Amino acid sequence: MRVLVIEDEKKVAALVQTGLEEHGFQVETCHDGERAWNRINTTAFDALILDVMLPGRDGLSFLRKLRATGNTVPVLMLTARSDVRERIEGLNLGADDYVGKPFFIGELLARLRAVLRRRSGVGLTVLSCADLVVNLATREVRRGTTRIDLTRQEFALLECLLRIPAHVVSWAEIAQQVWNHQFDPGTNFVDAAIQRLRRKLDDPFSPRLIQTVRGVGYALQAEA
Amino acid sequence: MKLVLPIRVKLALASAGLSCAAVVCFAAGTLLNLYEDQIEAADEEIVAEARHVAQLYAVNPHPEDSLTRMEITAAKTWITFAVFDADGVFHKSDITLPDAVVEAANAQREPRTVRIPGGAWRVQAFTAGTRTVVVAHHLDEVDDIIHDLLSAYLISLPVFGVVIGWGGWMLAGRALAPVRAVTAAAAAINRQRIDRRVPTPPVDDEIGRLADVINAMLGRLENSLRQAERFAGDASHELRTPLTIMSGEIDAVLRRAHLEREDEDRLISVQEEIERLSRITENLLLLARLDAGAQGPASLARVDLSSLVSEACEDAQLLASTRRVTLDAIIAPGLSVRGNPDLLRRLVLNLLDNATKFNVAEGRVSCLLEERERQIVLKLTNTGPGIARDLQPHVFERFFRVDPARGRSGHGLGLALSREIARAHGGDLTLERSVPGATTVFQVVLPPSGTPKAPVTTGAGRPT
Repeated sequence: MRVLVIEDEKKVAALVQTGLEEHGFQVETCHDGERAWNRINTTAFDALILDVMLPGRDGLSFLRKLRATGNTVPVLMLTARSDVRERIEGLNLGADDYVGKPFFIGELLARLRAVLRRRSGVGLTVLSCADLVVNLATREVRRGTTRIDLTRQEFALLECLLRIPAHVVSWAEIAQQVWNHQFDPGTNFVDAAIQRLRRKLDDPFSPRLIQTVRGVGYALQAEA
Repeated sequence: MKLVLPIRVKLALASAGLSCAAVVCFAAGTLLNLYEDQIEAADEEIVAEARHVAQLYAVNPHPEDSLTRMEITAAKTWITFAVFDADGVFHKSDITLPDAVVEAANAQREPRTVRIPGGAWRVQAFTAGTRTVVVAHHLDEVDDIIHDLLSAYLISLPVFGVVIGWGGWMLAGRALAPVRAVTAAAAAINRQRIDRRVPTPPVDDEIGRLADVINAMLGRLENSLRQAERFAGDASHELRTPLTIMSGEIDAVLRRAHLEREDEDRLISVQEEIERLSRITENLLLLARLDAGAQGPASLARVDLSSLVSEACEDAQLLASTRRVTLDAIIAPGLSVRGNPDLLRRLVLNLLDNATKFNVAEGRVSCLLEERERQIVLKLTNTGPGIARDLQPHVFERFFRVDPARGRSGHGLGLALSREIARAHGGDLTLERSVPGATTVFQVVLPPSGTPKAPVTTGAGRPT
């Protein structure tokens, strides 16, 4: 999968590139609208990651121009986290989804995958790992044939761990994903939440799925 | 209780009062003058009459024998005389003068006014040769004139007062109409309509100048609000990018490098701080937006508050149990408000977070949601150290911490933000009471979704 990252902040672009490449994407970066426009017209990409805050508000006008010329390539916007207007405008102009800054690469990955899946017509409402099956639409969680009851928070936590296969999710990522900025979770709190989830999801079953990766975070995968 | 009267009424009363006072003075003056004049005229008549009588007696010592009374008194019914001998013996009078009158007259040589139950007289005694002539002028007519005039004044005064009062009230109304217009226009200008101005009356008088001054002030206010909005937007971008980069770089290192436990812990600690910065940034910027009135809940969506609070309490269970606090909730079903569910969730969770955090082990938190007197009320009670009396007025200030020494969790924006969210939704957040060592109660009131007065704006921040 070829992805073009259009982001004027070089460090951010580099981060995104590294993150995506680790998950098997082929990534190119451009730091302004002009160059990006040229690249698009010479190469076919499977997706664009576009910073709306390009210099001179180029981001949204770039998007407008893109769609006006009939280019339907999937676009994932990078926006300011709480600027609703920007988001709405972007979606109206034809972006597929958005990721608010600051973001974790895991989040960006998840949304990118979701966008690509939607485009390819494959809806994915069911996530699974070993004998764990999670239906995102019905919010049904099973291990094997046993139904497991989770609170909303626990479900959000599980979803966060599941959405990128074999991705280790850091506590900070979990904090932002599950609790947004509601309050100040801190690592201990995240630990406690993981313990609770383990008690419901792992303890009565085998194999253990929730792995602690020391220093990094947590991952959902079957024990080897 | 002080009675406050509207300006119109005060002006009307004042002008009526002043005019009536002026009229009263004028009336008193004219009445007095008139009376004096009448008395003077009477005195002149008395003198003339006295001379006439004296002449008669000078010519004929006993004129009564030959002349008719009419000749003597020249047919004036209001004036009469009495003649006395040198011995004081009454000699002649056409009508009987009361003794009191005569006595008074004889007491001095000056004209006097005598009032007795029968009537009033102006009387003077004259010496004519060996005789004393007392002439008396009946004052009934004078009194009548004065009385009539006084009555006329007394009757017309209240009427006059009312007419002037009404006139004053009308004029004041007309004069104050532009003031009322300016007041109403100014009141209608709030954050959402800050670009509006009050109407300037066509006349360049005091009110015109007032309107100009208000408009100039509104212009400055609009400017500073716009600047605040711009700041919020610019700062947001500037702060977020470095935070994203820092977070990403550290994440990358933690994933890839094989670090000593200690180094790992340090990096995780840095991550925590970045996350905290991120949170503070978001909250601060949200606060700035709410301040500027620009953020306003982005949607007028109907929010099922009962469900939202239920879920929040569910979520907060984990918070509570990690802090060894029991949380119980009584939530009336089916209550809804209009606004932004994310902001409302943040409000509720923040209060729950505080309630469990500023608590004691084995403490309690109670959450109550109900409709009371056509308002939706969320009441949070918790045990714990509470907030000291003198600090209570400050709890909603930004970056205010009740106990700076107490752990570094939180950053002092929670309550400020929660209150702004409540207010942006047409309600408010208050600290009902806090008894240190016992209970603390915070209360949120919100208008139910049926209420027409929904203060929210669209994301563009223009009229509702």
